Amino acid sequence: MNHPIHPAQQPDVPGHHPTAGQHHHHAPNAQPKSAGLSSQYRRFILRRVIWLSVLLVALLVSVVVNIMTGPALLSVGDVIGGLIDPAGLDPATHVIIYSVRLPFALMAVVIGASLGLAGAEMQTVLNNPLASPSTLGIMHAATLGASLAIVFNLSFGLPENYAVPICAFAGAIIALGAIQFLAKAYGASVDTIVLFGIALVFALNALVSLIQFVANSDSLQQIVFWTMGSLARASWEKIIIVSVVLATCLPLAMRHVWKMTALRGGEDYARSFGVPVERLRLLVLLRVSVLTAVAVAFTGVIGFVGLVGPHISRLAFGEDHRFYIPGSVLAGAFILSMASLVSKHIVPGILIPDGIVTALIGIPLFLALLLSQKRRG
Amino acid sequence: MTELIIDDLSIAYGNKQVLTHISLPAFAPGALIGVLGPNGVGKSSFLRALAGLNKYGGSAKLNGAEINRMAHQTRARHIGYLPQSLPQGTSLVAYEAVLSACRAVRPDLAHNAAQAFAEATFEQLGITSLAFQALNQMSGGQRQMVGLAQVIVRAPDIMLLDEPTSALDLRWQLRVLDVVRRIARQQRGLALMALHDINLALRHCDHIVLFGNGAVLASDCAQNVMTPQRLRDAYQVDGRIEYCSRGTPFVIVDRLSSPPGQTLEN
Repeated sequence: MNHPIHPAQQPDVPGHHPTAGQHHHHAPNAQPKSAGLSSQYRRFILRRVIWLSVLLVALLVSVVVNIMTGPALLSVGDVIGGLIDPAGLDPATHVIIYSVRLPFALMAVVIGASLGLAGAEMQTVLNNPLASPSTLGIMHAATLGASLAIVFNLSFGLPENYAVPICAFAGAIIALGAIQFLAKAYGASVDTIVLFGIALVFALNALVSLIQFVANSDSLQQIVFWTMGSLARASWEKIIIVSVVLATCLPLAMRHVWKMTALRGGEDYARSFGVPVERLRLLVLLRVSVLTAVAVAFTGVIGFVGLVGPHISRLAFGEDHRFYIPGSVLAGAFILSMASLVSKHIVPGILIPDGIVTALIGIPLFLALLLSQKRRG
Repeated sequence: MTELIIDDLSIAYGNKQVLTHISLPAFAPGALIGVLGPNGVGKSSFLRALAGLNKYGGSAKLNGAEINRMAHQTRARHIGYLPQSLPQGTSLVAYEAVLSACRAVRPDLAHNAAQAFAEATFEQLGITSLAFQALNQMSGGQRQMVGLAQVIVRAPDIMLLDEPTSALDLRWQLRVLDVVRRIARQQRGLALMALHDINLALRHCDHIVLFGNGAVLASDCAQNVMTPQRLRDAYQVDGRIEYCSRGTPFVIVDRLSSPPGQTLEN
């Protein structure tokens, strides 16, 4: 913006609009900087791809360290060798890696990734940087659904690993419906929605307590396990279920990246780009419900991963959803992977529930975000 | 060549009628049309209706197709609408915002073609130096330019711009009007602009539609459209139409013509 211009003389405006396939010629005295917008953009993209790769490597390292860590210490060589060639392991190490540590470490990755994806999509469609499955009470609603399934034995003839997520999904979708309804009726400003969420969390916690009160001791233990959030009950079947859900939702999310990026400009802008905003929001919130429900059904309330993951991604990759979405998935997975490592270390020999760890790390960050939001007005 | 025919159009906001019985014959292809009128008369609602974002009664046909029956994608392909509000201040950089607008509307374009469109748009508007700045670090005027770039990059047949110059200084106002007019002429398309600055409109638009009291007060070429009577009817002010040394009409407003105490809304 530093070249003065007279209305009668505008030689640097190209005399035509390009059409597809046409080679673009530069006007003779166009700014030198404009010579390479697309090549500048390529460099810009390359930087993001490099950072995504760095995050991926960090995630892989955290998984390996996670597998090494525990009462019986394994070396890096043991773990990598064991993963590449399971047959070469001695039986004891084989059991440690494949029956204990690997499921636990992978569960952290897939649950973290699901929550990161859910949080990222929620923040975009609700246009609210404080939205996440935990801050808006979606997780707590899913917990209520899951608790009801356990206490009242709602199985619909399905095995527990399927019936419980379905009930959790019902809870999640009702909560999201309630938030949508309240937002429509009373305005969708950032803090209003967060306040609805907090009210929802309190109400749902009370209901979960009520169910705990009437539950028998077996179910009670399971409900308590949920409210604290823990990866300890990881199993291969659960990992596969979560992975399948994630592998279904992620490509669907990636199909919407341009529309979601357009939505960041504001609803009016997105509508004028032909984005059917209401339908997109509905589809995305359905996806968020499924992801949250499955995560909650197997690990309970692991809060703040879905809030912090997207923020890390936004800082590192901006809001082009082609990078923001994978970035949030990786960041979520990385955070939970690290949290599960920390949970092994706080009290040696005892696994602290991961939900407690993520809450202790996440709440200060949540407050910081809330305050910076306030400052921005 | 773009043809817009508006026949007995009426627009309501909630249960309040804003505009009724609007009929406008087809504008000349390539025309830049200024939409003028007092606050609250329905300029924005009119443009939103033509963009397919507001319901309307009657008929508004673009190249023979009724606008509110077009599919989302088709409409976005042919109609470029710039809302009055500025694009949200996000961490998206300008280039990403413009490219995503192009990709969201034109999934048919190859990546390179979309990038060539984006690059040409930045050059056309003279905002190349902003390309890699985040929107949340821009001034209002800069964001407005990015919003306009998001419309231009799609090369729509008809541009509906709701006060595209509201946040811009003189130099950028002229640049926007110039670029928009040039594009409309080259593509033999149409550009409709809601404007508040009557003289800016008279000087740069080919045709003016003047709204007042829920109807069209006048639809005429810029040279003839303004009269003291119409100024009084539309804006309730007493004014004169003078001609500058180049023969362009301009409006000088002397005083309010109605007693004070009138509400802002009509």
